[in-house]
Amino acid sequence: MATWLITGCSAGLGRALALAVLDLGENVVVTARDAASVEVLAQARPGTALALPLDVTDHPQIRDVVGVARGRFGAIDVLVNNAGHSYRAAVEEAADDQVQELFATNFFGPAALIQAVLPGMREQRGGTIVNISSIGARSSPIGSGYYAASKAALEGMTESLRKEVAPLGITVMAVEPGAFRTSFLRSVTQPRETIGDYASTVGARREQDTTRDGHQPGDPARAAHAIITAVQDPRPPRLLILGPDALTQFRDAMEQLSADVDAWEQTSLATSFPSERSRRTWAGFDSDRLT
Amino acid sequence: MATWLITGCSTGLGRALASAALDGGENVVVTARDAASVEDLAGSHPDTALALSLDVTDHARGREVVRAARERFGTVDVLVNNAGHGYRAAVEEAAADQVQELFATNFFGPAALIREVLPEMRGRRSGAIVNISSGGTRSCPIGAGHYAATKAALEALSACLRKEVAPLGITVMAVEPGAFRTSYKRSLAQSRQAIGDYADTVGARRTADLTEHGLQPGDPDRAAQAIITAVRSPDTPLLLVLGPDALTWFRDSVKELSADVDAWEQTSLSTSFPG
Repeated sequence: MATWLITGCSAGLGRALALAVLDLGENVVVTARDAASVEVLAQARPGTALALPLDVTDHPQIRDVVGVARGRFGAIDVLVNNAGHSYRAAVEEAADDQVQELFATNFFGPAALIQAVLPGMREQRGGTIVNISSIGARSSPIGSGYYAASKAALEGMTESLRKEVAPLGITVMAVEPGAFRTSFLRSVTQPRETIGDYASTVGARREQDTTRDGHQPGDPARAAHAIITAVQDPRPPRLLILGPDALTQFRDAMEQLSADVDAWEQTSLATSFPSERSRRTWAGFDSDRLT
Repeated sequence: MATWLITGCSTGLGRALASAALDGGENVVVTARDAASVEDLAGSHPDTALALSLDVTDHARGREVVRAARERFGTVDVLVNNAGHGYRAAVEEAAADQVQELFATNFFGPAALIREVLPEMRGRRSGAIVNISSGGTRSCPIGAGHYAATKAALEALSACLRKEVAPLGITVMAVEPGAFRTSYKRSLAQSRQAIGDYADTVGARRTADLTEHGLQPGDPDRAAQAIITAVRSPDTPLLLVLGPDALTWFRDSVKELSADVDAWEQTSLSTSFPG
């Protein structure tokens, strides 16, 4: 029986995941900024659910929560970094403090949680870290620049982490959901000022947010089961896409980027020192050594 | 003749780009944290170069520099966010203050400069923004997780920005260099702690770092020419990869990710509400 720690469980994907994992009989540390919103889950499963308040931007609170969780259940086997929100702003419309807050929630908080659970996972030479990203990190939609950036950051860190901890028996997975019927579109923060030149692009997206809310095709409960299936697999993928919309957007993004790169291939290949060009080691050039 | 504003010009790619643009007859606002380190470039091109100190983490200073650039040359046509550095740390070893500084330099600073140059570019319905990323966002190497994170963030921002400003006549490009013979390896920040469990992975990289400086196959001057060619092209790409090594990392990463995604396709397709 595994113990999961999930952030952002008051609604949406976090709540659906907590419920699904509890239904399986596993232990779940159910967290949210407002602990009252998750108390009912703990009351329904007093033996296996522990509801705790957790604001992922509060790093001392993170350490406390991990400590209490381990005190109750012994070890944390699965961490799910789910808490997060979006920010509907043209890149130019953003304010420094709002961008900082977005990253505090979507990146620095998850990174601190990872640091808090890793010592225990290393000790037991086992564990799984799941970072909920977004298809937006790939599809780069208008008006989502900083949100996509925060999620891309999470995925960039996730992949390096995966290689660092694989020898220690720990698995890491990123999840990119498409549009799911959660409170996501209602929790999008807005810039303090908008710029007229972006009315037909970012402004139009703001209007779409309102009409799309409540009509997204994705089912959080089904998403939860997909995540559980992947976590329990002997070989979880490094990246799990959720939703046919996200799958299409992922493949389109890969195709478009590859087309750009292919078109400029000759330029890409012309930047080495002449004496290096005769070396045939490019394909095997150890990427781990060079960055 | 265009006016370029380039950050991080004291050495490496920034210096090579500034030199190439100046030699090509362009105006260049050459910046570095220490203006003295770029005075020679201004000295050799007194009419077309303006050397200014700029620490990109100081957003107020960024605003001043953009203003000074416009006062001297009238406009900023091309912004190149090049200043940045690496951070050698296992994800678990990273210190919060060092990570904040890394993001301040590699992401928040560049974003603030973008916001400073855009109003005037929008006014002219013209301009180019170039963000120097890294092939490390594809190879995601051990011991560079937070660095890869900052650069992945910069690229995602670039991709969204490109769509927002294309209708306004402004172009955006991210550049992913592979290993170039710059001071990158010497300017790596180090985590304050090293955890024993990562000795074979991250620890081994720390040792290798010491021997690799100066041996990278990429030529910063050729990289500079490639960037200038791409900026001047009517079809500036969203992503310019530099170096055969980086090209391989890019293609391998697309292949590996796609293989994972393909293998789990049925699961991916199973998450919609019925009907």
